[in-house]
Amino acid sequence: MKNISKGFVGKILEINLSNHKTQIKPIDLEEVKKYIGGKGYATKLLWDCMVAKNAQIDVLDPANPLIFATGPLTGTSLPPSARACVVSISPLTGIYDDSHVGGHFGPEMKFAGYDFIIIKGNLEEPGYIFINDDKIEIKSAIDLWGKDVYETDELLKRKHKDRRIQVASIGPAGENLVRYASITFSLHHHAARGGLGAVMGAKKLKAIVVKGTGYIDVNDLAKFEEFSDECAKSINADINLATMKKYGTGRSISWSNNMYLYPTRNYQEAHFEYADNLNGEKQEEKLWIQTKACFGCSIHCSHMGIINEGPYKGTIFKGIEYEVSDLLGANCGVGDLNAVAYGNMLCDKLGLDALSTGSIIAWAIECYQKGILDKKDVSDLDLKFGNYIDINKLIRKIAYRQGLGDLLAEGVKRASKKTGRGSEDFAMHVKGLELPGWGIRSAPSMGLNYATTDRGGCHQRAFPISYDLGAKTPDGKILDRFGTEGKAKVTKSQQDATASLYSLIACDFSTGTLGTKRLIKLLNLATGWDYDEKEFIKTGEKIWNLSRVINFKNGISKKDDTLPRRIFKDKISVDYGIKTNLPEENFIKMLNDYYEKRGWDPKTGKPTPRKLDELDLGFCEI
Amino acid sequence: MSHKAILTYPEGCTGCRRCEIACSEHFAGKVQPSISRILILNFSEGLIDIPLVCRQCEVEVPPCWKVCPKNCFSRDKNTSSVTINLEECIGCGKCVKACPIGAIFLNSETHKAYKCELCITENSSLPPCVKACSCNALEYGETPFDASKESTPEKIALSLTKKLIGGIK
Repeated sequence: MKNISKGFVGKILEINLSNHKTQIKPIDLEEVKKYIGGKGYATKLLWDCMVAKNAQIDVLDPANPLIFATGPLTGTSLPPSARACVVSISPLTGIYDDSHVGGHFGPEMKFAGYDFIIIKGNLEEPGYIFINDDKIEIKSAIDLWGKDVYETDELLKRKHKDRRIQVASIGPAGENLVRYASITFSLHHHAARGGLGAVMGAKKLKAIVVKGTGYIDVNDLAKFEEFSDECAKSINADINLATMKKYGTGRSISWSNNMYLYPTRNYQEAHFEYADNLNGEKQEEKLWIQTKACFGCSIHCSHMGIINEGPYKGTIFKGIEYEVSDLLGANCGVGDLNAVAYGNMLCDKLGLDALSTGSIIAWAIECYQKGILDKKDVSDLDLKFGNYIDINKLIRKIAYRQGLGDLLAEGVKRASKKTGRGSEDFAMHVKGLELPGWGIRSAPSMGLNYATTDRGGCHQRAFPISYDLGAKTPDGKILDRFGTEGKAKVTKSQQDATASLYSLIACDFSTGTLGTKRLIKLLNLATGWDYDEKEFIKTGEKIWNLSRVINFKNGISKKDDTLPRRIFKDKISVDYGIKTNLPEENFIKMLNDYYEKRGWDPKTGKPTPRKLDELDLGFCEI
Repeated sequence: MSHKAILTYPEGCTGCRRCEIACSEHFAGKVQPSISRILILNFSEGLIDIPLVCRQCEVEVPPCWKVCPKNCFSRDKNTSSVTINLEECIGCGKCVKACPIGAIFLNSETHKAYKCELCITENSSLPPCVKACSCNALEYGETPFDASKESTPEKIALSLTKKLIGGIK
């Protein structure tokens, strides 16, 4: 039979771990087209799993599906085509989570013949899934349980006598159900935010190994290749990406710090006196020994390094990405580059989200400083901002849930609720997801974005900071940095566009160069579809609304669309001795404006039936 | 009998596998890394990527050639690459085992051996994989080479790892 599913490979693999049954189903292309693929269609698959149960899913319940998704551009010859995502209900937030990765796993999944893999049920004993084209086996992982992600990857490669397999695995943190445990792909790519590693841990699923011999067919090969070549040339010529290649995301550290966007000491300030020690130039000069890339990508944004001196001498690590430099660095008061690199490596190796880890450690330090936690509570650690020796000890304790680590493994929302005594006011999360490393009191539109994103406090669903800082909006306006006017509109439109781009699945670093229009053209050349920009963005809005409905089904309401009290109450210093917060009334003004732009009920924050109908989501009851 | 071959510099390899994409597109018109004649192998917790490709041994009879029961091997007149006559190949796999670095493969569907053939065309003086490499890990150049004296990718990875972190760890 002719392969009609251009861009896609045409199959969904469903594995039930409880009864070891696997099922290979053809994908319904008409249905996929309504959601593009990737994030979008995985969201629909999650919804379908929920409707079958017709209720909220308990995240650690066997019924919680873990969905691995690729998009129509994954594994094609387009330079960054490595992206895949994992969609499930998050153990950390209890709501929708989509966590994206690069590396090589997504393309390999498609070469094996699957656009999506849905994993349901739980194993009784630790196991791993081995996928070799249409041969699917569940094998014992008793000998792998307890191993870190690097050991696991190497042991699996040796066991299968194949260095070309791609491994997605969890470390001790996932096994111990740390609520922000990551899933590690191809050694150094982490689906970390939202803790889907704990979903794997609950399923006793140590790893998924994939090997594929197939290929990806596109609709108009000649035109796709020609245009993909042109895109590759743009990427190679882009000066902006040249600095990414040279300094990684760490290139933004000093800039962000100078713009008062660099959260410091648990978000008490937005400027770190040692930020320049951590930036990309310093990393390149002192640490890096290799440059690495995802499948098919010529940006080569990631770097591996070795620590040359001090207590952590000899440690090999990948990083330090911008976000990690902030959360494990500035936000914990650590300005020592080697110490941050070591903490970064520990989180990666043990399978922890380094962002949530840094955030909750900073919270614990502040609790200890304020006397909310005492010496006994903190396992006799000398918890101080900047004391990296004890901070790095605490990272291990979290992964193994020892002492204070057991409380912190619950995430800052649960930990602060349990601890009380005012500690919730400086628990820096939205909907349970610890905030990333971009300050929001000096960039209010990012605050609105954090408060409203589908998976909780996240910077990857929109990045409207540039408009706060004076870039012209798409309709030609310049916005007041600390004001509220116009912020909802740019935030919404970026969120919608991103939802569609994450369905392709595009990489953020190339999107800036290629732009949405060229990516839509690639989508159409790959699939034979006829998306235009308007429909593409509208589809993103549909995806956004569907995840919103999923979140309401899982207990979210309007009161959760908010920010930590610290953002409203406590001021940060910015230029010329000025101090600023994000006044709550300003935030509410932006939020109301946002609901209006979204067509959501201003009283409840729910998408109105009319909005759902308009987006072909009439099947959703909310 | 000095001639050109694909030279590899693993120090520079980022593991992006654009060479594999280019190779499979050249031979099959599609992205299918499993049939690529150049393979990237990953070692040392992701630190090292080794491009594995035939070096067209500069000996009279290379190891693969020596063991072939059907005498399928010959030297291409233009590029001096070691080539396999697929019509004669019976897929016994002896050459695959004989190659000291593992740069010959067996196609699981056709059961024929395949390897790098140095794809120089009228339009291009560089093989597609070398052209696609943007990190200086591949070069189409001349160097004396004898596979029987060459290290395996594992050994190259080990010594490169030592070189990169030597004196530190």
